[in-house]
Amino acid sequence: MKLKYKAINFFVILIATSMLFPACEGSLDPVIYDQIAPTNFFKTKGDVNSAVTGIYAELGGNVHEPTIYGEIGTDEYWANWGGQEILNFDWRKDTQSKLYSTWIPAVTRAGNLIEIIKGLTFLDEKDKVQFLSEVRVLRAMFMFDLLRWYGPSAVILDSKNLLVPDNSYKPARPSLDSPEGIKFRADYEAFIEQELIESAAKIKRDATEFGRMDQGTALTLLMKFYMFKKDWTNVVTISQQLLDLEGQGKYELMTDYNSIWTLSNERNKEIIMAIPRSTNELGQNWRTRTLKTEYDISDETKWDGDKIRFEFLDQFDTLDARRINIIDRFTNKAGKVIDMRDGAYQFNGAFSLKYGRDPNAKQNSGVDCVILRYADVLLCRAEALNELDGPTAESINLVNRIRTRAKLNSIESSNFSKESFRDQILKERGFEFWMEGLRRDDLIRQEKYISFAHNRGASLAQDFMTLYPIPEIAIQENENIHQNPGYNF
Amino acid sequence: MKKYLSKDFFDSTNQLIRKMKTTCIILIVFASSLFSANVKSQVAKVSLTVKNVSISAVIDAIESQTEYLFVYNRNEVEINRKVNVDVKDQSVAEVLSDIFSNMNVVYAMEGTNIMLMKKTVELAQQKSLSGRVTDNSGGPLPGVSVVIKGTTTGTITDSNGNYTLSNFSENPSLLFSFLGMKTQEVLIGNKVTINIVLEEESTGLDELVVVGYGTMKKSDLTGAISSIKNEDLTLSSNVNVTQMIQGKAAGVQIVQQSAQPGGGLSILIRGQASTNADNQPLYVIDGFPIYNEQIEAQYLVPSQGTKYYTGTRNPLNAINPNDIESIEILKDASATAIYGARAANGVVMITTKKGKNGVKVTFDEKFSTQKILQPYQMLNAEEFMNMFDQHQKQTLYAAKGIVPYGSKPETPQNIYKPRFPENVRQEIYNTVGKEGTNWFDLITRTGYIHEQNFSVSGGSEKTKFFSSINYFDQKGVVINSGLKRFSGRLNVDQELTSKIKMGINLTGSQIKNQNAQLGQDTWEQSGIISSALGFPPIYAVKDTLGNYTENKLYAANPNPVSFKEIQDNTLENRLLGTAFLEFKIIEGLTFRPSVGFDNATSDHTLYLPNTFKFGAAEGGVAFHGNNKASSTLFDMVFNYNKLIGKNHSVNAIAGYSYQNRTRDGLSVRNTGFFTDAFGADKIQSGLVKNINESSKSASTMASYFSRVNYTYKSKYLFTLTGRLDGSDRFGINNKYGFFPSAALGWNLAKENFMSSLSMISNLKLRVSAGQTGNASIGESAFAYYGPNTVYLFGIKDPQTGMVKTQQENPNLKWETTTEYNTGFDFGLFNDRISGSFEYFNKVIDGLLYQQTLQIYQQVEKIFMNVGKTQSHGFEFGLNANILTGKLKWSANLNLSRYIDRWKERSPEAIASLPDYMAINDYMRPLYNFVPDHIMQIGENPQPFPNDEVNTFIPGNLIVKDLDGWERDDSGNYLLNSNTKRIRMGAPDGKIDEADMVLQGDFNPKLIFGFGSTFKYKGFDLSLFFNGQYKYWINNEQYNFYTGTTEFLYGGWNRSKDFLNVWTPDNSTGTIPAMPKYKHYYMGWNTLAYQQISFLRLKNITLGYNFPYKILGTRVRIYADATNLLTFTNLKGGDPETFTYHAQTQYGNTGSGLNAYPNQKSYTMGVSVDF
Repeated sequence: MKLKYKAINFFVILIATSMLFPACEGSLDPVIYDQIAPTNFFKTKGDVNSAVTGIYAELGGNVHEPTIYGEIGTDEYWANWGGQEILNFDWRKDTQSKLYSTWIPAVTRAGNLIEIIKGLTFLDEKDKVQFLSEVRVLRAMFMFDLLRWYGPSAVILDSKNLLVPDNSYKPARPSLDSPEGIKFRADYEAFIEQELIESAAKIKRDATEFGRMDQGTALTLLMKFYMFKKDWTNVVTISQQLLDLEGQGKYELMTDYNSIWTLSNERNKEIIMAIPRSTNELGQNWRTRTLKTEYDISDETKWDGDKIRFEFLDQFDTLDARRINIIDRFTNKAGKVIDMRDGAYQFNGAFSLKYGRDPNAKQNSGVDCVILRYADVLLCRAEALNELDGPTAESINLVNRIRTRAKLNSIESSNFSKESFRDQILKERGFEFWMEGLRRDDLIRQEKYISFAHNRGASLAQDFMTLYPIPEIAIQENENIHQNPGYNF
Repeated sequence: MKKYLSKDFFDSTNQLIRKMKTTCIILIVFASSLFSANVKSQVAKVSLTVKNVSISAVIDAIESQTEYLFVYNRNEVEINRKVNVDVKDQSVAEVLSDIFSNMNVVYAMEGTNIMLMKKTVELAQQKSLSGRVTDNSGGPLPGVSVVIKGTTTGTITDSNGNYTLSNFSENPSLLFSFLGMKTQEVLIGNKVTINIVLEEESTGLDELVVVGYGTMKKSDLTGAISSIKNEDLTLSSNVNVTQMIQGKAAGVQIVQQSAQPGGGLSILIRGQASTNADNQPLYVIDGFPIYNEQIEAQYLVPSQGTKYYTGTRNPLNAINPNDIESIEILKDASATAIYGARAANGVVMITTKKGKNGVKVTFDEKFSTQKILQPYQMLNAEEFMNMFDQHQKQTLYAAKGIVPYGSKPETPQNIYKPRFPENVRQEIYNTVGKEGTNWFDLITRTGYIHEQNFSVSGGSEKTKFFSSINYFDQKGVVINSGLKRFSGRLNVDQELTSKIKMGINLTGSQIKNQNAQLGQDTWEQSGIISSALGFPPIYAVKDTLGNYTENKLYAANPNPVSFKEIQDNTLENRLLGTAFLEFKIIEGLTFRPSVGFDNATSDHTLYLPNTFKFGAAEGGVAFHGNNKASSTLFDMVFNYNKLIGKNHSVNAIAGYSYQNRTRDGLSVRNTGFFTDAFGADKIQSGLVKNINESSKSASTMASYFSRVNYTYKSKYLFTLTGRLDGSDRFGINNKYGFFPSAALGWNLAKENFMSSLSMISNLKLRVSAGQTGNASIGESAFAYYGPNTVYLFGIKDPQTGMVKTQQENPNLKWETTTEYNTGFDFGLFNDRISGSFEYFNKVIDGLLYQQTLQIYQQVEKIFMNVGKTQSHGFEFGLNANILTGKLKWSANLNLSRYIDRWKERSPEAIASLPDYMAINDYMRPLYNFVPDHIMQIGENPQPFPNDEVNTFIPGNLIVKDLDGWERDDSGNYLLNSNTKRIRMGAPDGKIDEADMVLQGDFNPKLIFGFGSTFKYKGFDLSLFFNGQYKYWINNEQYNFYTGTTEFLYGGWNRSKDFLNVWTPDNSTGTIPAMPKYKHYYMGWNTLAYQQISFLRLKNITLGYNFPYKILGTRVRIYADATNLLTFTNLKGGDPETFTYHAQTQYGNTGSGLNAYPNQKSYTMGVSVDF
């Protein structure tokens, strides 16, 4: 039998063509489309800017975490939700690992970026210095946060480990009471100090965009660092530089205390550093965190969390303009007066509505999170002056600037000793900075943190608890890290 | 070769075609190319006037006037013989009959071919014979091959089942054969008429089973393969095929993830031993390995919690289950290794229908109604208010230490003032009555399904086609949920020459999903079901102004009925096609290159109007997301088949395959619309801002594979398989993986020594060993920076922050599974009883694992291959034809069980393991406190370790003190070599983690399915049961709505079961009390776990086939019920509607909250063959 129509030729051609397909195999090299391979990155100034932005983003999401943790466990704060263990000083191995595991890698990321920027050749020197200074201030800030909550910590700062990560490297953190520990602390603190001094000298006085680190931020952080160190002389020196900036019109005290955190008065001159927020996606939820369902006069989302203790609220002078937004009594939509102290509602505290309403926000408000403000500079300076020379005219005057603004009468230096003025300043700071995350530092600095805890019944509080325990996970993976004194889990 | 094709056949086919044209125009659309050719040829007339020309010239003339091609052997046909022709408009057949009337030549027409052959027998010796072939119902069987035994002489029955054989020599018998029917042999003798009835073939050992890159006879298999034929699939009320194989194959566990229309299912073959990589099998449809992923774009984060989540969907919804001829499930390494790095979780081979001889037109119409199996029962208005005040009161008293929780007496000052005093209640009763609003009733309804399926199959010896059109319309039981599918298919096989074949399979579908919002979270994240269960019954649907009411107890909870205002649709299109050419190179050797593509798109639009709470919050929200996935395949396979001598048979394949896949997506959204009228169709009209997103990923796999089967005397079977897979997703140091397997089979029944045991018709022993891989590791091997953060500077839009998001691991590779399988197949009493048993043991090594890096590293984790798990188990399947007479009864049963265990864990995983767990535990173990009783008033609180400050109060659940930790003399814990505390083995008077004991496994002890089919005359009745025996679940639904009582306070309703809660006045209550004890060790979920079993009458179908004589066509009507009966000890809910259960991620063992309710379906259907 024979085929009249042959197709054999076609067949041969087809085999030949099909053999060409394996050639496609070269494409087994991986391609990733919507992420950037390290080899393609750091090619432009835009790349550097986006990497620097990534470090800013370490400052946090809805709210700045250190602000909350600066309140929990103090005489101001109460909540019936998370953080109970800290509230009650019922601390365990992993009571607080979140802040540690946020800041430790943030320091590495910032350090890695600093090393990379140093090696870039396409950036002009001015840009390079500015980028470097911003990231160095941010890194110093993260290290300062670590210092305040965990003590000097095992961070990665050397260029070798920053550029070529080696997971077997285990940085040491000696026991803090040992001689090595004392040196370790000194080195760690010297590094923060040096970084802030150098950056403050190089960074622009006025940031190109609101929200970026500038000279004032660096100086205020440095001043706060000296406050932490109780290095009063340096506090006076640095705060003077900030006062000079006020003189130049950069900073001022708002006349209306409650307007500092309102949408209409955003980015006012009292703010030294803020985390800019925008409605919804990049909003903050301070109001949502505190509000409770009964507060139906707003249609905001309500989580019933952070509250100001009634005991604390009761210490305010009734005329004090600063307590207006601490709500313990209100009229609901139905016209009924709700007294939050009524046991039926199980409130142990009042709403802390420091931040004004963003009418467009249900939950995430566009009002910027204020982190550092000028009033703090004045009160820090007053405190330092008092520690150096007792209640002087200047220090009393600084406090009175704050009190006058709060619609309170002035105080007289004759009424105060150094000790009682110190107490007065602590009180004043409480009324001035409620829910701003400064209370924990203030109480620790004035050695009241533990005794205040005892006073309100937190019987588990012990003297060493001014530092959190180093999280279990950090010690487990690295035997060179020693736990903070006092913790024997 | 000789085949006579009668003229009658053609004529009657034409008749049929004319009939069908009027019946349905659709047929023509699908089959036009084939039929038009045939129609032209068969009615083709020629006109020719020639004198004294050669036959070859006449042939040329006919070819030029028609589409016929002539095939002949020059040695047999005198083509140079001169003839005279003078015809006008005569059929080709008539012309040919004239020309060859006095020559020793016969002709045969097949399709467009005309074969000329030499007559082998003298006319004088020839006789003729005719008859009719019918099926059981008396209906004609067209296309049946009627051949004289021992020759190739034969014909094919026409559309009326008639055949005529003439001009054949004396021969003892006729063979009647038809695919799917038993071949029958009939002695001719002196008969001139032979009418026969063909019986359906029961599956036998000669049955062909689809394996990777080919088919094999069942008797030659050495691997573990379950084969499900289309007649075993119950099509009623199922949109996709996965639901139909639930319980039908041993070793295959199918769990429904969502009972919504077209909801997702997970298939687990032989356990789920991967932890981070996918546990789903590879699906191969007509030779094309598809990527079986849901690609839909989701508004907001695509997680199950988010309120607008559209639920899981089964990607196989795109495949019309009516088109499926068979499903083969490849289970052991011998069967799966041919698919190498993707085969570790088994392979599901789906084969669609091919055309058969003759033309068959089938039309199916069915209608189902669906009712919710287990409506959620929530507290009514009166009960809600009672329980609310009760809860508040108990909480307050417990907090203040008022009796019975403390010693303080109740006084007018501290007495609880109800939130719902009598006057408030009266007001509520006046609006909504004591029952209140039943929100769940308001958002649910009776669902229906309407399905129409139309298929045409047919063919001649050389051309075969199958085509279908399907329409499926489902209205879900939850408002706003529904699915409509239109799909079409065309499968064509064409023999081009005796050496070349080609074929095309093409299917396209369009699915219109109407989405309900199925987010399962609560509060402001609740979807429609969640919201309906939680929303207090004390509110009316709308207030007096006609606006949707608000939950005044929790304002952020949207009104459940207001969800119906949302417009949410997903349009899915899928086009899947494959084409092949097959060349016969030499006898036994073929070469088959093929190409294929799979294009899927998903277009999701969502609009939240101002009438919906969260739409109003932003002035209307519009979203439009379009995702695409496309895959292309090229492969080529050499296949060699050879019988060497009488005893040695070899079948070998070798091939190459290249497949790539791209996924990308684009979505836009906006808010602040001045009108709801545009919906999501004019997104630029929004006020606020546009957010545009896009994404893309791609992967490529290049592979070489080979398999050799060798059989000696059909008794001893050997199979060797290997595949080399290269992928661009593997780390650069591991670009290629090699996956070998070997298997042996021994057909014992063919041994002489077995011949005396005549009852044993089949006995085959099989063993196999091999390796496969799990390559679903994504892009885990590479380092990259991602735009994962944003920060706001100044008044600009947020700026993108780049951070290093992944660390590179150049050594990262697939997970390797090493599997051993032992099994046997048996058949008794001439295979009336048959079955098989398998035992498997597989070890998965190099599990995909995210190793935590040192805390100071920029990136938290790195992907590694660490750890080992083991899965072992058995499978048993049995088929029996119990009665075969007039009343036929067949039954089948399958059982399987698997156990997943850890064999090795990373040091990190061991370190983080709680002290009470063992390193070689089940992969999904349940450690739990053992509940004892509810603490009564006056009972002493249960002791706790000294460092615990909390205590129990009356109404709390007391758990058993079963064990404690060993301590040394100074009170320190003793530790074992893994630095874990050691149990002392006796109660220690304290409740701590030592009292958490292993209660069991989340995997069932037995998975089973069994069914029976009865046939009597035209009636058939089939029942199918499936079930799972003894497994633990986290009964989240029950527990959440009886526990978490504080939710009441926030205005979130509880289930009716909550009425049985313990209170001082109801001390026999079995639900732990309202002021819940919160303890460091014990969550609220000690009672959440339940060991359950279930048995379900999955399907019962009663059908009747009308006798052919009555209607003149084959007509079947049937009624079917799905999920008619369920026996289970599950408290509330449905055992098969698990939202999380059996998902890919290890540890997801919950039953899922607020799941789309499962349904009972009643179906009526009719099926007509024309």
